[in-house]
Amino acid sequence: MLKLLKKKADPKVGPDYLVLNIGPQHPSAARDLRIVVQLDGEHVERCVPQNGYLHGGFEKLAESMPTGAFFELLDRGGSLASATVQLALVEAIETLADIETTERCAYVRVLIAELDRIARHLRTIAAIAHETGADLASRMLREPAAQVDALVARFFGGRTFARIGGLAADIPAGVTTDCDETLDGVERALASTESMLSRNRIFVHRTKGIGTISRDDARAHTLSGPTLRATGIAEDVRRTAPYLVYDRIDFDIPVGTRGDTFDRYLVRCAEIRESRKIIHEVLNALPLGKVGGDAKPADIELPTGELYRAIESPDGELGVYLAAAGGSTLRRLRLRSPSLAHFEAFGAKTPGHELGNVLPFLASLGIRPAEIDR
Amino acid sequence: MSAADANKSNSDATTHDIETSLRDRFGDDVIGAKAFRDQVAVTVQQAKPLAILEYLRNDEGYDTLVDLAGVDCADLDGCEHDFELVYVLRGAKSNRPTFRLHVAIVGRENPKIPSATELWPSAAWPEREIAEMYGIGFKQHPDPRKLLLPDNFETFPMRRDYPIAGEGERAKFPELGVPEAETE
Repeated sequence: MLKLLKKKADPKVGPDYLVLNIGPQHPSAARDLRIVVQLDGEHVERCVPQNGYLHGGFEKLAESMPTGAFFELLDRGGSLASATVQLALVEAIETLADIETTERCAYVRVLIAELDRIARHLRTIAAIAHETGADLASRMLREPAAQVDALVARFFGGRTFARIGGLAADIPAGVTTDCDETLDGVERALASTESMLSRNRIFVHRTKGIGTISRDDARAHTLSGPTLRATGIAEDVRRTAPYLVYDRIDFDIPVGTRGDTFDRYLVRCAEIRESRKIIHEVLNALPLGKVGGDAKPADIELPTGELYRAIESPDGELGVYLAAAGGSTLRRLRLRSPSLAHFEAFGAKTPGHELGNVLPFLASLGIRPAEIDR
Repeated sequence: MSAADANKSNSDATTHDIETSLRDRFGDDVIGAKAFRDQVAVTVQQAKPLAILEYLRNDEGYDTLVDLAGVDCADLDGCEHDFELVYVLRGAKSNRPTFRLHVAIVGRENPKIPSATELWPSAAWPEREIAEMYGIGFKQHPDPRKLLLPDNFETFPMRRDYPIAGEGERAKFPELGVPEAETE
């Protein structure tokens, strides 16, 4: 590792500079992220993001087996099998192969996507709090996040909820009560956290004006999701290219003004409440009927064609580019993760910050290493 | 509901216009255009991709490079080039829907193409990935290191002829032992 630093670091690295390796297992980075920083005192002069520790040939596998089989394999994909990746893949494959889904399925998918968004945002806020030393707030948020995950697991018996053309199972009766109870718990924890953090001098000092990203920079680095919206740009795939039934749902798009870590925290807090609104609308409008997903994976026949399709994942635009030339196996699958763009922008925006504030900044971007490395 | 209807993000008029205006301006560089599920892609030759991308960005309003993907076309029937670079573009300010520019690359031995990083800084990492996975070089790339693979990985695993079963690259890597103590 030292060899790498000697090779990559600035030639002016001398006795006055310290080269520090962070990761690849730092808790704020979920796991398996690594950054190498060159320090002048407490200040970061240079930051080199390093990744690839989780590369598992996900895209190569997709080209080597029938699409249905590949989708089944996702369940073993660890953190790559998140609800958002499943949703992005299933939406893209269904569009490519022109597979119909039922109304009820579309509504339930929105429900799962929003529950996932809530759990994800809670964990991201918890990570920011943890990195600023607000450990109590951090712990208070992890509990309801785990409860939201447990709710989804109770619906489907496991991590994978999506099937090509439908769902792994229909949601049980009494789902509204379960959701209400869980989301009340989320609201209570969020309100206490906000009362602890939003006007806390230490928290504000370490997040306001830190990791500031301008609108132009956000555009140049193709940032998306809460990170883009924190700069004041109200852009959301759910609005710009609606999928599922988002065009029938009324929700607001919270935006920030300064594009710093504090704004990203505020935007995520507000988005949790918007997601709750969406979930209520979905449960009220949930149509009866089947959810589909009974077809055998082997039955999927692909046409000749290519497309790019995106969804709004909790952290930004998660896109899938698919190419097929008939048969049942994809010629190409590419996952466009928001985390890749965000991690790159992080490296570019870190110099000039104090080391202690770099980790809350990293946490606030909500980077998922598994999606970068694939 | 049909999944294909759900993501309609396009009007035929715009997409037709793009193909026509690219043909007017760049003539023979345009190989063809295809539309699938309401999404249009234009394939161009590798001669001057930067000029075409710059035109799309400045004059057609495609200000955002959403993604950049490599595709190996070697074993695809009826395809005359070896690789394609897929630039997924969108006009965020001009509200242009997703459009794909495919740049056809001929030659499997160390093909080279100019980097798009001066137009879009966000091209940097996808280009690093394409370079290590497909062996396509990018000229004037600001940071041509590998992105996901170890430095001593010498082959290009996303090429279609790279086998997915076998020994892999492991045997070529040096054995890891206890590192020697670093001394000043």
